[in-house]
Formats: sequence, structure tokens, C-alpha cells
Amino acid sequence: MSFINNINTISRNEGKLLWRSWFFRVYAILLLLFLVFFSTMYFAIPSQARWSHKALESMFAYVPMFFLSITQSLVAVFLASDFLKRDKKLDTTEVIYVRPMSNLEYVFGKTLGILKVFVLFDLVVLLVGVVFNVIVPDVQLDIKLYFYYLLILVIPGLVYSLGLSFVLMSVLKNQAVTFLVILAIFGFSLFYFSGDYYNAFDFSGILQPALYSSITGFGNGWDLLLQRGAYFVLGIGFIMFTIYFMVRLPNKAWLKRMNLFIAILVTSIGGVLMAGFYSLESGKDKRRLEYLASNDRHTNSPVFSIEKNEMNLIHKGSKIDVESTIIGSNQNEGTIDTLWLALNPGFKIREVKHGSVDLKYKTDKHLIGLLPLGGVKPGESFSFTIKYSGHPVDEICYLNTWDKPFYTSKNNDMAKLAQRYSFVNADYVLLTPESLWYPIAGTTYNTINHLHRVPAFTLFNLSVRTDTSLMVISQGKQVKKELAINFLNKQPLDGLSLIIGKYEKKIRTIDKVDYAIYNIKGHDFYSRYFPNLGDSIVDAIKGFKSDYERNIDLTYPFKRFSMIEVPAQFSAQQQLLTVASEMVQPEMVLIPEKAYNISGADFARYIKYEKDRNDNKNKLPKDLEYERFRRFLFSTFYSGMQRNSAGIRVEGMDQAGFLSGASTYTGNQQNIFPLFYTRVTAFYSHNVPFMNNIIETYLRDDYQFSFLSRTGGGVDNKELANLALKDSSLASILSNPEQRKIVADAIGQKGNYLFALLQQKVTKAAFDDFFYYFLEDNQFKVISEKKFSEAMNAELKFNPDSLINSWSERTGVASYIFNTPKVIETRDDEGQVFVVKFSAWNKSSNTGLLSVSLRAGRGGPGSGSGEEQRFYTLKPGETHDYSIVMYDQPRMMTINTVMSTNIPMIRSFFLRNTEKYKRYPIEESDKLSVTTLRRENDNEIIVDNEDKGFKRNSSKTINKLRKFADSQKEENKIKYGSISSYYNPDFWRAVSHTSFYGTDICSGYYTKGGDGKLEATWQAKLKEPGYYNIYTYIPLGVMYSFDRGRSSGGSRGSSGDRGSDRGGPKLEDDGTEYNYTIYTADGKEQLTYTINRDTKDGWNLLGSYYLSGDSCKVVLSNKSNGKRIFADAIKWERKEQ
Amino acid sequence: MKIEIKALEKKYDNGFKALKGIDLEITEGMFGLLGPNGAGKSTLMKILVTMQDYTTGSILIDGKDIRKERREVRKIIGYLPQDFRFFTRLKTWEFLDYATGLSGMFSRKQQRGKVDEMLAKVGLYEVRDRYAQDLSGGMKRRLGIAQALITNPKMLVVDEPTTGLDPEERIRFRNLLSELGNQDTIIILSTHIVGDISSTCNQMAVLHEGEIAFVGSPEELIARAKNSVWQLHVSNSEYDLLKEKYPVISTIPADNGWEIQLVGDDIEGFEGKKIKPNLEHAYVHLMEYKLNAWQL
Repeated sequence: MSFINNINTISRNEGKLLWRSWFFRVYAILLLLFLVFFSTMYFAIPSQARWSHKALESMFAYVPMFFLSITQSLVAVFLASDFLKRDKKLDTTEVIYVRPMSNLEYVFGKTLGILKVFVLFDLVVLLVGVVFNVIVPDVQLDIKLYFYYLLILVIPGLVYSLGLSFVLMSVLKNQAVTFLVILAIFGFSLFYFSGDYYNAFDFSGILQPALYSSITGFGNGWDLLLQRGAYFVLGIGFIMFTIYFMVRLPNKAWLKRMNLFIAILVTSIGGVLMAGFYSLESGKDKRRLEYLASNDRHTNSPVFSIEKNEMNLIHKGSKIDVESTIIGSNQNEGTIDTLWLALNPGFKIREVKHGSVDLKYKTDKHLIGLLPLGGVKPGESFSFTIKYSGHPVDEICYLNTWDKPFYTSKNNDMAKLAQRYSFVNADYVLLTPESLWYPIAGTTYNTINHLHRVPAFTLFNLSVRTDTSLMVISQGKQVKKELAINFLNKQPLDGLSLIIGKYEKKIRTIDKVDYAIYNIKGHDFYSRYFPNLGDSIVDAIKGFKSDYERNIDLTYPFKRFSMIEVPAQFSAQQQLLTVASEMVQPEMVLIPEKAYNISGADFARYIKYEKDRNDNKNKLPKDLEYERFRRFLFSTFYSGMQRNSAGIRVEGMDQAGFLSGASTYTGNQQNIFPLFYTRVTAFYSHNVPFMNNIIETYLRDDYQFSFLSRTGGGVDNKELANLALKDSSLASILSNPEQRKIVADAIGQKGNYLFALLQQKVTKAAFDDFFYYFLEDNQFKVISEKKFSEAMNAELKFNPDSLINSWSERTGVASYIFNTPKVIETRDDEGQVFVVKFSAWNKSSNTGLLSVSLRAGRGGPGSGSGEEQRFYTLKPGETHDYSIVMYDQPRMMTINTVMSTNIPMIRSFFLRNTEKYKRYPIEESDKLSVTTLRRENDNEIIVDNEDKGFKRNSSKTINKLRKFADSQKEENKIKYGSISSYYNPDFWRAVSHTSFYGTDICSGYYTKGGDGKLEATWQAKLKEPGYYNIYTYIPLGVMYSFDRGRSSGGSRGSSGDRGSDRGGPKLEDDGTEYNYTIYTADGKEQLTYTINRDTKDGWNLLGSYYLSGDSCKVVLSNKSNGKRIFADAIKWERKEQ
Repeated sequence: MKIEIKALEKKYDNGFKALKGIDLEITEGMFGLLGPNGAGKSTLMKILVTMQDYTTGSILIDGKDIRKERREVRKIIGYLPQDFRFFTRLKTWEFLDYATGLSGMFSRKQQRGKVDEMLAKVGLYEVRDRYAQDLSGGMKRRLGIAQALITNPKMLVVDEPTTGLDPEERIRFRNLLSELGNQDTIIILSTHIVGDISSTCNQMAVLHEGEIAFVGSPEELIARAKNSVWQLHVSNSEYDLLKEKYPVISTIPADNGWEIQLVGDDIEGFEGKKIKPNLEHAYVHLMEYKLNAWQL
């Protein structure tokens, strides 16, 4: 009684003291103001509040808790140490100390007092979240989440911070030192160890993946509880230590010893919890390594071909019980003695039978080796039944991905989600092939011959029993039979998925295809945006389907198309050698919970744009809804397929990809491209095991972005792949783990080269015509290399075998120099004719292939109007002069150097100047030139930034921190960066872009416009004195920006339907002054050149000067009124006498 | 009720011996503790209020061992430290409420009643809602004594209670204390203001260099100084001479020199009259003639 009374009294009064302290009040008011402001912007203002911010209800509770967590700990530390300081200093405390309470009561009371006030304040803060949660449409209020976060995130962090500061203050006895020490500890925990050690150091909980799915909860509940529990208990332990260290004499001497004992005990328990958390997390990684090793051990065993899999599945609680009857055959040349299968290691095998006889088997981690008597002979069929049950584990998934974090933290702005790859809960199941929920033949990813994954198509039939209130979704025709739901397939699939949950379904059959949307009950936030759409939805879907099919030149191969909502934590990692993500399964696309990260589903925001558009004023609501729906389809299923390397910078790239590096998709995981190729076609060549990927890359590149040039510059993965291919063979790149990031691009580059060669032989049109039909004819089965060769030979009278062989064996890449193309306008009998002339020199010792595209008119990407394409082969050292005839005015020429060391790899020339001749030979030609291509004429001297004559200084006043930060950036590890639109470096930064002057490397330098401390100098040997015109090369192309005022700006790329929204180009650097110092015969002369609308792209005259002596020199300073200064090339041109 | 202190020694970590074998028995009533700075007064007080431990010896308070039954002892202690300040953000009544809450009284209603009663007793009821830090010096002292008394302590320890108070407040405060002294309570008053003790205490002790120099009633101490206090009329040069030899207690300018009072067993060569000593004289006499500690 007195224990509670004393604690109460102390906490009441200490709480009052805290509540009345100005420091606390100022903090509380500032935080509340900030939160209201932030939440308004983040959740409520239509133009700012993205769907990804608010779709998951837990965000409303998480955001206030996030800001509380990061600020409250620091405030608590300050206040706690302040309290103890007061205790130490003033006799006032003694009048309390002489009271008969125990030290424990005193410290507990004090802690409780502080906690009470903070928790009270936290509740007020939570109310802010609740208010926004209620105001914002399309979201529900789940009040329990607010308390979860308070208990899981905030309170453990607070108790830990208090305990730590109490104990440090007791030991160090100095507030300032304590505060500094704690700041250092916090800094290390949050920033230095950020993301390391599974976030074990994250005392505040803000790095923990803690977003909550209304379908599956946290998805990592135990991990979260352990980590947070550890900090809570550690905090209590520290508080117990504080009692031990207290200067006040204990009521009884043995109490002090007991305090120490309890302190040690409690802290140890905290330590054990933390160790438990760490071993739980590291155990997963350890097991993953074991699985990988197990795969490595058995990957060379011959693989059984599974042709049919009949499954009976019972779902109960968090377990499934499966009986799988498998029929297959041995397609190898030798007998299979041990028939290896891979199955999720979370399952326990109960029985394996061949007919009615038990079949012997052995296991190695997740692998099961069946031992049929006498083995399975070549060509022989074999069947068996395997029964297994249990709960699958995620560790087995994506053994190819070792980028951290694997389970934790998928960024949704500030909040993080756990990453899960399978679910089997009492009321929810999500199993995709990656989780190995049914046995597959052979091993999964291994380090030995990971490329040799034999593709397989299996005929699946599935029968499911589960709670009758749950809906079951899988591939195939659904037939209800008594308690079971059966899924029957007519064609074999590359994998089967099973989804069970509280779904509701909307279905529409259009042209014999069933289109369905499955959303969790209560998650239909979208219907209200389409009240008037009605049957127009049919036109929209039809239109989209036919557009997509026309673009990709393939037809949709399934009878069903379902969009299925899955928990937010469900994630897909990059699969090796394919762009297909686990989000796209046969017949279905998995959509994250409430489409939270799908920008096209941000209907509320889109409506705001609609209202802002004048031309929408007269449109009917139905028409607006139609556009809204089409936009959703395009941005969700069409856009952003490419990696960030398809020759263009991806706009609005998926944030997860942007933040966490290469392993996650940088593109759109919901793009349905895999439904047309990857999920239905399997090209298998023993010699070229990555052939499937080559074709995938080719099709993907072919249907998107054939003409765009990069906007930001820099070196992309394809160029890196080229640079790697220059020095090493593809095989060695594939086996080098360091090169893992560019493997896919290296293969893609190599593949593009192959297709360019094939197209060169039979023309692009003929090849494509053949190839696309060939693919459609061979869906749902494995295509051998032989079959392809025979088909091509039959159709196009060309056997590609030798070409493919020589292609696969060749190494090295070419390197080219081009001159500036010239356009000649002349006439023939029917009207205007244009001849584009240019030359190319292959300066390398490897044969190379150029793919040249010419675009006429003003058509945008995909407009297809007046596009000409040519392929040219160049032998080592040769220079060729080319003429291409066009009947429309050519506007742009793009040379794709395919496999070369050129940077940029794809060079674009705007064809602005046309020379007119009445008569001119109208003929296409590819002539070997007798003269080697030179970059300057006899009367010219050019110094480029790549030349020895170019020098740049570095300022001594460079902000070291900034330079350090800059050097940490990924792209700085390679020489050429890209031009940032928001950040100009304090030093000369090397950048590459097609607009810069250059032979094989188009590059320049740029820096911030400033005080003139930075200089770039061009110097060359002067051959003879005389009058010279001095030119500077202005890379005008990098100085323009395109106003994307109407960009969707969602968290995903949505460039698919964006073209029409673009404003005109804007000369960003208009008015920027370039200050040159020209060295002349008379000394030096200052000259200011101002960028304006008349500035030409390329050489611009600075002036004419008399030069003498043995060298010429021009210096550019960064003293300028402009934001940035570019330094590229200078040309001295001897004037005619 | 009594306090028994036996052979009490306190040695600090740095080797300094603050108390060197104190034997003292204190019974009910006001007990004055006198002594120069560094005599060990504060150490003794802190030990008595359980804020410090001792090295050897023993203390029994009301028969309870202060070391072994600290909780029980703390229940009967009231303490007003010398450098008593206030939590900056507690109101007058809340301050008392805090103390009451820890007194073993569980009912909030009782606690409130006790607070109001005490506020009325020390004349602070009118200012009960004022922040304690905004009270005047005298009010603060009263609040201090109120928080010490609110738990009905059997032993009240007051350290330098009247320092910094104006004469009126000082008298008021002394009276408040002596009222309590009449009850069944021990009040230990540590001070260097002799007047505080002479007007209130029935028992006293003088501490010197960690030892008890005197223990008894103030009258006994005064009796020791009988015939040793002189009043003289001296010239300037005589004054300088005497100042070197005797502790001079008071000096009043007079015709052709000074009217002074001094302490000395005899004043050879000078003429003066013996006067009746007071406690202050007696304290000086003790220090000078018994301990040779008077700092000239």
C-alpha cells in the first residue's frame, strides 16, 4: 500500500514539475504545430498527399509516432538528466530524501511521473493522427493501431532513453557530458548502424518495419516484439542500476545489494531478448546460406521433368496440408537415380508413395531426393504422391538476392514495411511459386550453374478446402465440388499461385476473357471514382488490350485476367535474368494492398488535375472517368518495365528501387509484359543458357523506348556492361559476383547485338514478322535452339546456327568516332528528297555493328511516322561514308553503337541545318573511305576536356563535407556522373551526355556558378602565328528542361501516357554569363559570352584574335551570374589570309 | 523519546575525520548545536537525518538503530536544511502535499486536510496557490518548517533556520519553534547565531573539531564564564593593546577612546568592571579559554 502510495505521490509531483517546465511545453507545442502542418501536407492537401501516404491506414498512426519517437527520446534525455542534476545540487531534494520511501519507490515514481506526462502528450499527438484519419476519404479508422504504435514504438524507446540517461547521469555525474555521450550513442545507433545488424541498434524503433497491413498485420510481429521488448527491458534494467547508484542511503542495507542483483538480472534479460532478436534474424540468413549450399551440392544432378501435378490442399489455421500427385519423365540421356525435388523447408514430409508402395527418399535441407528402385531410365515416365504439411518459411525465397535488407524495410517514404514472400495465416494465404509451396524438380538458385535453369511447364490441377467464409483464388477454371474448390487447367503453366482471403470479386467477360478484380472486403476505395463509367469500361479494357497487343506484337494468351489485392508486405525481389516479377503470375497480377504504391490508383489526386485542366470543363463525367480508368491501366500495366538502363532515365521511378539499390525493381512490377512472354515462353539453349533472357530483353526494348535519348546523361548500366565486355568475356562477367549488377545488362547487350546481326541478314521487318509468329506458336512449351534454327531456315531461308555460334564465341567491343551528319535537300521527279550523310570510323580492333535510326517529322515516341532504320557493320580500323535517302525531312538521327566503349552508347544528332542542291545523287550507300576520319581540319586546333591540353583546378574552399557526401554517391564511383537538376557541385564534375563534344566519349565538366575560384583551361600548341577564330562548344542540349507541370509524380513511373502532357522546352541557362580569358599575342583579354536563345548547339564564336608564340590558351572561370557553368571544348580556327 | 549517540566517528574518503568520537544524549525539547564552521555540525546533522552514513559508533533514535532501521527512523524525522530552495514549479500547497503523500497517510482527503491545517498553522493559507519560489524569505522559511512538521516528526532537525531573515521574521520563527519544543518532540537546532539558542533551547552542545566541547544547558555554559567578562573604558592605544591580548566582544566609541567589553579571567594593569555574561560571552569564553580556539 505504502509502496503504491509513495510511487503515486512521487510520480504525481514529478509529473507536475515536468508538465510545468517550459522546455517541455515549448517542445510539445512545436511538435503539435509541426505535426498538424506536416499531416495537412502529407495526408490532406490534394496536390501533395499521395495515395502511397495514406492508403495504408497505419500511416495515420505511424506518422505522428515516428516524429514522437525521434524527438521524444532526446527531450526525455535532456529532462531526465536535468532532474538528476537538480537532485544532486539542491538541498531541496533532501527534504524528500529524508522521507521513509525506498530508493526504488523514488526512482520508479520519478520515471513514472515522466512517463505519465509523455504518454498523455502522446495521446494528444495521436489524436492529430486520428483526426486526419477521419477527415481523409477512402481510408478507415483502426483505433487499435494507435495503441500498438504507442506500446511498441514509443514507450520502449522512451523507457530505454530514460534508463540510459539516468544511469549515465548517476555514473558520470555531469549533465553536459551525459547529454553528449547519449547524443553520440543515439547518433551511432540511428545513423552509423542504420540498417546494419538487422536494425538491432534502433532503440527508437523508427527504422523497424512497422507498417501494419489490415490483411496480415505487421507481418513480422515476433521480430518487432522481441526488438522492442529488449529495449523496454533494458530500460528497466538501467533504471534499476540507477537505484543502485543512487547517493541516498537505502532503507535497508540489503536492499542495495538486491537492487544490484535485480538490475543485473533485468538487464541480462534485456540482453537475452536482444540476442534472441539478433539470432532470430541472423538465423534466417544462416539458413539461406545452408539452402544455397544444398542447392550447390545437387545442382549437377540430372533433373526430372514434371509434367503434371494434381494437388489436394487443406488450409487450417496457419498450416496447409497438401497431397501432391506428380507425373513426369526423364528427358535426360542418362538414368536418374536420385530424383531431386525442392520444397519449402517449413513443410514436413509425411509420406512419399509410388503407387501404393512407400518410396524411399533422403533430404538435404529443402531438397528431397526420391530414390525410385532402379532409377528412372531415359524417356521413362514416373509418378509419385507426396504428402506434406506445415507453415512455409520465407528464407527459401530469392536465394539469388543477398542485398540487405531482405526481410525488413521496404521504404514507403518514412515508414517501413516488413518484406514477406509468403503468407499462411488462419484467414489469409498467399503462395506463389517462389515460395516452393509445391515440389519442383531440381534445385533453385545456386552459385555453380545458376544460368542452367531448365524451364518447365506443368499441368496443374488444384483442389482446396478451407474455411467456407474465405474466397479461394488460383489459376484455372474454378469448379466447386462439395466442400472443395477445384481449379482445372487446360494448358501447362510455369507456376501456380494460391490466394485465400476475405475477398470480394467483380468480374466482367469481354471477348471471352474474364476480367476480374479481387479486393479484400472493405477495401473497395475505387468504385466511387467511377459512378458513371458503366459499360464504357468494356471499351476501355478492349482499347487497352488491343493497344498493348499491337505494341508488343503478341496476343494475350490467357482466358482470364485478374487483379488481386495482396498484403502490403508481400514483396517481389529481382529474379535472376528476367524482368518478370512475382507480382505477375499466369492469368493474374498481384496488386499491393489498396494499390498503395500504384500512382495510377491515386484517383483523388488525379481528379484534382482533371479539374485544373481547362479542356476538361466541357467533358461529361463519364468521359472523364473513362480517361481516369485508361490512365490507371496504362500506368499500372504498361509503364516502367525497363530497368534504369534502357537508354533513358526513368521518371518517377519506384521509390523502393531508388532508395535501396539494384536488387529491387527499378521498374514497374505490375507491368504485364511477362504475361505475354516470360510466363508463356521458355526458350532453352544448352549452349546459350541465357537465351530466354536475351529474347525477353529484346522484346522489351523493342516495344518501348526505341527512340528516346537519355535526358540526364551519365553512364548507365548498359554502358557499364559494355565497358566490362571490352575487357572480359561474358562468361567471366557471369561468374564474377562483383559484376552481379550488370549481368543482366551485359547479357542484354550481347543479345541486342545478336538481334542486330540477325536483322542485318534478313532485314528487321522480315525477322520480326517471323519471330513474333514463331513465339506465339510455341507458347506453354520449351523451345529448343534447334527448333528455332529450323523454323528460321524454313521461313527466311537463313540458318542462324553459325551466326549464333560465332556470336556467342566472340569477345571485345568496338569503339567509334562519328562526324556530324549532314542533310542535303534535293528533288526527284516526285518531289523533295533528303540525303543524310555521315561517316563513322571504327578505331578499335573489333568488328562492330551500328544500328542507325532516322526520325522524320515531329512525331513523338511510338508515333512511328517516317522512321528509317539501317544496320552497318564496320571492320576494325575502317572508316565508312554513309548516305541514307529519306522522303520526309529527317529531324533526328540516333546511332546505337550496340556493343561499344562509346559514351553515351546511343548518340543522338538533331538534324537542324539542311543544305539545298538542285541536283544531287539520290542513292543509299555504305562506302569504305580512303581517308581516316579526323576530328579536326588542318586549319583547326581543338582541345576537348578529354584531351591533355585541358586542365581544371579545384578550389581550396571546397566544402569538405559536401565533397565527402558527394564521393559517397554510387555514381561517383564511375568517372562520369549525370547532370543534376537540383544540385550543382562545388567542383568540376565530369559528366557525359550526347550533347557534349567528343569523339567516342561525349563528356564535359560542370560546376556551380560562383566566385571565380574554379577555372578550366584549354591549351594547345600553336603551329603558326596569325588571326584565329576562337569557338567554344556549348552543349545546348543539356541546358534545356522540359516542363512536366502535369507529371503524375506518383511513386511509380507512368510515362506511358504522359507524352501529351509535356510543355515546351525551357532554356534553363538562358542569360548565364561565361567569363573567358583569351590569351593573345598582346597578352590576355577578358571576354563575357552570354547564353541566349540564339546560342547554337555546338560551336559558338567567341571572337577573332591575333595569336603568336608557341601556344594558345583559353581560360574559363566559374565566376558567373548563372547557377552552373559547363566546360567542354575550345576550337581555334586559322583564318584565311 | 531520546537520541543516543555513542562513540560516533566519521571519516571521509579523503581521510578527513569530521567527527571524532561523539557521545551525546538528547532528550525531548529544543537542543542547540553550536560550533564554528568545520566543527562537524553539518556532518552530524546529515548523519542524524540519514543523509549520510557514519564510520563507527552507534546512534539510536527512539531506541531504533539509525543504520538498521533507517525506514523507521525516516518515518519520525522532520528536516529543514539550511540551503533550502524550492522546486521552481510547485505551488505552496503542492509542496506540502508532496511531503504529506510520503508520510504514510494514504487517504487523499486526509492528506489535503493535513495540508490545509499546516498552511493555516504557519500562516500561509492565503498564499497556498502561489508558486513557492515567489514567496518572501520569511514565508519560505515557514513553508520549510511546515514541510518538516507536516509528518508530525518526533525529531526535527533545523539547520541555520534564521539566516537571512529580518528581525521580526526571526522572532516569529523562534516562537514557532519553541511552541513545538514544548511538545513531545526533539528539535535539534544547528546554528552559529548564539541568540537563536539562548532564547529557545533548554539543552545545548558545542562542537569543536569533531569533538564535543560542551554539553549542558545554556545556563551552565553561562555560569562557566562568570567573573570573566569585563567592561572597560580605554584610549586608542590601550584598545590596540587589549585587542591583541583578549577577545573583544563589543566596541562603542566614547569620549577620548572606546567603551569595550572583553572576555578574560583577569585584566592585569587595566581597570574595568565585571559584568554578567550572556550566552555569547560564554561561548567566546569557552572557545578562548578552554579550547584556545578563538581567532584573534
